[in-house]
Amino acid sequence: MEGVCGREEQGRMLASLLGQEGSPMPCSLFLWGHSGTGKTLVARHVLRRLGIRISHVNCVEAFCPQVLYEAVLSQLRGSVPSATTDLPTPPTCDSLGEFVHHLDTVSRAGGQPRMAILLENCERLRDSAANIFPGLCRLQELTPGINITVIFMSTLPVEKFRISTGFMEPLVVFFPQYTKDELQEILQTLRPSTASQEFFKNYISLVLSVFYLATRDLAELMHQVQQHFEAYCEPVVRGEAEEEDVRPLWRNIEPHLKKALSTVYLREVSRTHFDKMQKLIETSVSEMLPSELRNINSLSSKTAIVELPLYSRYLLIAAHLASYNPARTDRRFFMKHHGKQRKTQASIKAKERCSSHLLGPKTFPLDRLMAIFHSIVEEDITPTASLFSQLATLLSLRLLIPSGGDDVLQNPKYKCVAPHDVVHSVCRTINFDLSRYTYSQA
Amino acid sequence: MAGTVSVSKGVFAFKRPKHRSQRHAPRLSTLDHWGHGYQEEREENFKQLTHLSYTSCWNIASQILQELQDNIHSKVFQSLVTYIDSAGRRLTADITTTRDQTFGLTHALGNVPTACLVTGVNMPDRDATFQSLVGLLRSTSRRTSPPCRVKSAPRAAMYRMISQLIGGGGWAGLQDEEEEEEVVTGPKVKRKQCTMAVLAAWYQRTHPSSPRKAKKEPPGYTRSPTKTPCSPSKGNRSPTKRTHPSSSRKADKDTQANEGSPSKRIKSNIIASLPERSDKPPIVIILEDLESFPPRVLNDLVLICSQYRATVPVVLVFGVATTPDRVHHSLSHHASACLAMEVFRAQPSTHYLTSVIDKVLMSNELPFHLGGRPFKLLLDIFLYNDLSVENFTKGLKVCMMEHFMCHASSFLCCSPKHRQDMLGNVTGPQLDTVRKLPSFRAYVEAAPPQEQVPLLIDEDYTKKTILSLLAELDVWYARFCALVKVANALTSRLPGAPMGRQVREVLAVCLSRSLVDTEEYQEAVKGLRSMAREELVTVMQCVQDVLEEQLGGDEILCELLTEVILLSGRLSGLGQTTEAEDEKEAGGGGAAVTLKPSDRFHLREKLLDSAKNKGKKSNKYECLRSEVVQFFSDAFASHLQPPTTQTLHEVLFFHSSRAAKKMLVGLPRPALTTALANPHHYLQCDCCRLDEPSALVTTLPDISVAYKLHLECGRHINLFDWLQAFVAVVSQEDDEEGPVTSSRNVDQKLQARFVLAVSELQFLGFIKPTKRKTDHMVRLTWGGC
Ligand SMILES: Nc1ncnc2c1ncn2[C@@H]1O[C@H](COP(=O)(O)OP(=O)(O)OP(=O)(O)O)[C@@H](O)[C@H]1O
Ligand SMILES: [Mg+2]
Repeated sequence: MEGVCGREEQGRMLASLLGQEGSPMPCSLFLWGHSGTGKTLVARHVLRRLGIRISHVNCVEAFCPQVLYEAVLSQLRGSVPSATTDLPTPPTCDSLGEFVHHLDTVSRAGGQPRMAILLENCERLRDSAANIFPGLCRLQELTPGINITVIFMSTLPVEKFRISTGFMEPLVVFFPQYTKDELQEILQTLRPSTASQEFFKNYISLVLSVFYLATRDLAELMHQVQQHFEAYCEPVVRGEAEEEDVRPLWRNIEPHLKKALSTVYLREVSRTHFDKMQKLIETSVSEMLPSELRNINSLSSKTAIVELPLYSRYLLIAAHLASYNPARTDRRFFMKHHGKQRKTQASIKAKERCSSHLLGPKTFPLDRLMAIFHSIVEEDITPTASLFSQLATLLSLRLLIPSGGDDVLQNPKYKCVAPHDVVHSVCRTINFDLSRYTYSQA
Repeated sequence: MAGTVSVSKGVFAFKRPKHRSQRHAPRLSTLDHWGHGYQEEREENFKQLTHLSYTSCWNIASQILQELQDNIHSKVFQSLVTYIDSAGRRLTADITTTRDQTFGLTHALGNVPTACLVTGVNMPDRDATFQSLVGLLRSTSRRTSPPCRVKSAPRAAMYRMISQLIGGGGWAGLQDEEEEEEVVTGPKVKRKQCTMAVLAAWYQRTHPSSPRKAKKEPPGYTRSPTKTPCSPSKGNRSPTKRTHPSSSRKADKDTQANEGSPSKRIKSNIIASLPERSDKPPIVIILEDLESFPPRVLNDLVLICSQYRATVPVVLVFGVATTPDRVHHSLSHHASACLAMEVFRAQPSTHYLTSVIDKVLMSNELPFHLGGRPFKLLLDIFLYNDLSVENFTKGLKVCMMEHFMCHASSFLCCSPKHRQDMLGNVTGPQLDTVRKLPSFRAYVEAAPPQEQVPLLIDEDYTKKTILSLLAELDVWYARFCALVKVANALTSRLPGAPMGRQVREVLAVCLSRSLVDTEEYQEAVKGLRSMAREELVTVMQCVQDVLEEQLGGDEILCELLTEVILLSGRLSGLGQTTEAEDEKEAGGGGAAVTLKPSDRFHLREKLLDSAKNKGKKSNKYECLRSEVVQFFSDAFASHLQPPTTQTLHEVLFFHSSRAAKKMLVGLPRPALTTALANPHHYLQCDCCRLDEPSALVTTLPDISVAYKLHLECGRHINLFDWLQAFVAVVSQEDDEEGPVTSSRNVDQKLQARFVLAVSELQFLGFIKPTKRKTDHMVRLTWGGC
């Protein structure tokens, strides 16, 4: 199989299962394995080689069976879908029965070709309709005389699909994770025509040595390989190093890769942007406009800065405290004269210290939030309508979320889901000493 | 509204008749509601005059504001549009040239180019921001599919998106904007067929790879977005829906009304800067409000877009309020690996506010000015509550209306060239309203005796005086604003910034008090007095720059400027001489030391000497420094007095923050407690008039009586006692007629009234039933909010 490396076994298996022209095909196949292990690639490759007509549907898109059926039919028919009324539309098809009927006509019109339905992300089928997955599993039984097979692809094992009755197990093909050598070989195919074999191979092994521990996701690795190649080539382009000098090249690229390691999976900065940032930093800072400066700062700094109105900040802090402090300690933290602490408190605290932050935020009623809010804001403020609308804003920003409660009208309950670093940076902007009020650190 | 024949109580929905007759009815203008302050007939003229001045004022203001709104984001937008354009070009290049193996194809992996626009949390402004972005995109990509704007719509998102894109529908025509029903101008899209495959096919058809022939351009390009009906999403997958059609629609109309030249300005800017566009424009999908987008829908959307990347060039634009991290929070890592995201930051709204204050409030272009307290109020609302410039300008508008409605003399508050005409229309008694102004009376009293009489009697003379006084006031205000900026430049870099770092903070102080008397200023002076020379030089340079910018032909400012230049010249001169002396001294000292390296006594003496010299020199500098400080203090003392010290300030300045506050700051709880404790406040009826607030009168509404009685109880309220007290109060009126009901046997009717009142209180959240004690209610602390 050209263009596909390390998947010979699966390819052979698929080809033999599907058989040659004229032999009956299996009812259904189930390919599973991690994302990026080449399921789609191998399946399409094999099907194309065997001359089987393909319809390829992603189940994420098929939110109801009808969409799925119609997509499959239109692909098998080879027609172009149209949404506008000015063209004749294919007949609608919204049940399995109709689907079978239409398949029959399609098959007859095409001279009974071998056909395959490829279903990507088929775990989504489970939520769309109850009978669709088992129905598709035994599609051949419903369509005598049509040479059709259904190929499911998923990242989940088949056990997650079983249902109690009427389930016919599809033939399972597993796609294991690539080994390091296989990865090396696959990444090698990315080689641009300008780079020599050896040079690129060295580069790939450098990248793998850095990233292999963090991720084995092929797509991510490919991204990283493409991202840094230019930087890797730089010394060669400038004439400072030869293509064979592995060591200086490594010294040049290492900091880049190490930096990128912290942003694996975060495609926040595309390459052009990355370059732009570098350039901006290089140009003298004085030439820059303040807004640009701020841009860079906020991009490069890791802390999350959220600009909020003053009272919103206090509300957020109050919500955070209400979520992480047990309610019975409120007296201690927020009353001016809370009396002496009993000695036993220390022992209780020791027991609970670990729990409060590990267990995540707890729900709190609105009353408690407002009480804490008023006690941490020094000055007297009247509860205005805008104060409550700020609460609504925080909710819509998903810094707080409503969390049930039996009485949504009179005593709504919330939970603070703002990340800790956001809360801490908010505290810093208003010089609020959070640790003084936090239970587990008190 | 038509009645129903139903006997059940309930809320019935009536479908609105298709053609509203209102369209043909004359539109009500603000004039019809104008002037609750003028009861008298003869003041009808005033009504006209003040309304005229008001409209002209507001027109000026809104024009400036619109210009600002369009320009404030122009820079970000420009880079955003460039990004979209280049991303689109790359994408379509990928599509046409089938994936060659050259490098730099991050896109070959199925990454969807995404622009993440961080807008800040000011919700009300966001609509306007995206509005202008959409307008910009449509104008720059004239030949493209329109950008589509999805507002946190869930599962119907796909339908909406595609129908917007294909139909060109969902973009209602301008003439139909009154129609609530969907008006599709393009081809109709069937709901069931809204899949990406359909979109891909459509895209292929409308943008064939071969040179385009006459393409069907969706007609009716207007800017009113997303009017698609959100039809009920079916299936259990559909998350909760959150659309705000009404508000967005309203905003649309507003912006349509005053959309005009300014927006065109940015457009042309960008068009000029863009290279010619490709034949295959990208499809731009804007998701405002990413946070409230259900994560699952977002995930699917990204996956689907990435899947179809080969056929449909989609560029996503996410509107994020908080931080770009949010995108990753709501996406699975699989989906977020499908994005190639770039972050753009819109100007923070504080920055926007600064320019609004600078252009609108601190300029004489707008004749109306805010006094100290209203300004502080608006500023507080902005900083503490919403960070929304839109709300700030709304507040400004309210203040303006209030000013023109409640002050008869405000008709003079118009641009200087119209004042003459305004005064010409005025009759004698009306002129008296100006004469009665306290500041004018003070002026008359201070005038020499021979002028006092004509000022009170002679109409023409008075008018002339008024005109010149107002002109003076204008000049004074310009100077005032310039000096506020000077004060800010002088103090903003002091450690701790005692007067704040922003111009607005200084302005807020200066508008309400005389600057030099404030504590903040004393602090700042202390800071200035301990400043090093280099710092002082740079500060003086700043001051000089500000003054040069603000000069505007004012003589006094010119004088100040020359003085400042002199002072800074002396400062730097001082620097040079001291440096020269330093060098000389250092040379001499060095020679002495080298001459007698072993003589420690001499060395010590020398060092002491030089230290003394230094002290003397810095004394020279200190003198100059205190001279500088004194100079500024004098200038501020004479020119930075609050506007209330000026004659006729009532005409141009709005001072009553109480009125504005009543309208701008909603106080639900106080309103409720006032209504319950003193119904007369709202009902304005004679029966409920109370002599003292806590008094209990029989004629009060039941709920009010119950409320007052419950205030007297502790945390737990015994229902029976409460009932007794209630009956006692309410039945006082019947005392004379019927016999007093025995305490055990309460009138059924009264009991029913009591129960109703109690349940109303419970509904308002003042009390709630408890299980701890039978027949008791608990008072709640935070009731009614
Ligand atoms: N063996 C391989 N040889 C060359 N390229 C490969 C190989 N395996 C995967 N790739 C590359 O990885 C990409 C993703 O592979 P593919 O789409 O087949 O994964 P998948 O298993 O279907 O993932 P998912 O579960 O997400 O659908 C392919 O487009 C191809 O570029
Ligand atoms: Mg796949």
